Amino acid sequence: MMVARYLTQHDLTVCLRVCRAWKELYHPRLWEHIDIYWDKNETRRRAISRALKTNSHLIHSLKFRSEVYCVLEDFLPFCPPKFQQLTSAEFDCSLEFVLDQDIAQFIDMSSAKWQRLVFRESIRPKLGIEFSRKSFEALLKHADTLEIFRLETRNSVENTYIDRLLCTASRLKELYLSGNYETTLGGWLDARKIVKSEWVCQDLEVFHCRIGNIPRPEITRTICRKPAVKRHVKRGTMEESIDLQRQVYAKLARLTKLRELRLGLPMDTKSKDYFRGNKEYWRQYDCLAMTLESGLDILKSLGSLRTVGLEDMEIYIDNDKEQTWFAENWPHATIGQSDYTTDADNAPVHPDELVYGSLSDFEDLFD
Amino acid sequence: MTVILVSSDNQDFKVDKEVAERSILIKNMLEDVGESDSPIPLPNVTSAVLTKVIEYCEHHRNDPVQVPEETDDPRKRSNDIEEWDMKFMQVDQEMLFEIILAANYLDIKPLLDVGCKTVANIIKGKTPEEIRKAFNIVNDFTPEEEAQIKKENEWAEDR
Repeated sequence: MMVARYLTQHDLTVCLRVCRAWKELYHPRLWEHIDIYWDKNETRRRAISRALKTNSHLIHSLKFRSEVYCVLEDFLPFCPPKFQQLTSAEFDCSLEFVLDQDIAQFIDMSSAKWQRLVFRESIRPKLGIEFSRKSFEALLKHADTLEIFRLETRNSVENTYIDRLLCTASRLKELYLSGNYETTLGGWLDARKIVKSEWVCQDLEVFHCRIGNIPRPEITRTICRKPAVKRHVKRGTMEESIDLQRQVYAKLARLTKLRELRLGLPMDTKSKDYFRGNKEYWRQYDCLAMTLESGLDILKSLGSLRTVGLEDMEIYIDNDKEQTWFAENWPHATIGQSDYTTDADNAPVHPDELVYGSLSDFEDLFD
Repeated sequence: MTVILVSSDNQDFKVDKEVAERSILIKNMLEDVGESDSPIPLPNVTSAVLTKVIEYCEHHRNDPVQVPEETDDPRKRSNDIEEWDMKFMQVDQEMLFEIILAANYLDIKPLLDVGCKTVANIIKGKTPEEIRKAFNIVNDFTPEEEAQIKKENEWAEDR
């Protein structure tokens, strides 16, 4: 019955108790999209487990919320061996200690083809998810049906896997990878490695992933009290830089349905984990320059863009040339960008701060 | 240009083509048949219901064609109904269900949505007993059965 679309899970559980005919009618509707809140109550866990096992064949989409740690490892033993129709799952929970093999096991549990997978860290955004080789091998089996893949948590997904997904998932509409600004090991695409690959995801509407390893010899300012050269921004000539950037722009330019293009993320400077200078230290320097000189004009095919995120990127677009280009070619887009200092960074350093978290801490890390 | 719709009780309704084409069924029929004056029989819709449906289509004749409203979470769909539609739906329950059936048959998605939302709003926030009263339903569960269903699904209630 179409009315069920407009009822909450609570309403549906009430409908089940009205009469036998309604139970017959609403029971499959309740289970079609099930929302599970997982806590530490054993009785409740066993009730969920029993219900999941009885109704596993009815579930098309599963939403999972929890504040418990070790959540997937904890939840998997309560699951049925297979979900026959499951195509969509959303985890809104702490993803601390969510291990590669557990994610892989969960992905393999659906005997249907995945269309949507979302992992959202809602409790402690500092922590990340281990979405690595096993998870990706499991996921890539579903590349032909996958439409939405979002890791809204820190992750260090390897370049090879992101690129392979983009080269095989022809129906992909959303790719959202928060990445991990505190490591260079993964969570971003390597410009030099992707230029030769053939992306097939022509329907992509959301692209959120860093693209790095681009030489930027024009960056000459002092970064964290060191000359820019120390940040390896000169690992190539200007010609090589422009040539590489143009190839990357050309790749992005084919994604003409993009509404959201995020190549950078704002940093949470209010968090207690933020230290003076973090924003400058962890900034992206080997990113696209987003200037007309670097080939921005190639992206004029992306006229449907609404959101462009360039927040933690070292770019110089605060001038008439680029701003006019944005207004003309991406008329509906809001361009997000931010400076590398915050108010706190500009304030004089308090002597206590030098002990912990001031720029001087970073200097050893630099070379 | 006008078209003639014929209800199940053989009443003719002359309406503007633009209004009639709010029904995808009729729109497709007209496209298949091409230019024609022959009346369109609607054997599943009575004149009382068709009057209401045409009233709805007249009011919404200039609405843009609805884009499919597919949110990621089906439970997050809004149950808001605009004021005119709300008043339009203030009919007895039999008529409400007839309108929903007609909207489904005639393929008028916005009307179907409004109808379903209206029914959903009657159900929302009620106890099983209140729902039975609202829809005149006889409880054919034993108290034990009802308690058992409640117990089985307690975990799925709102958190």
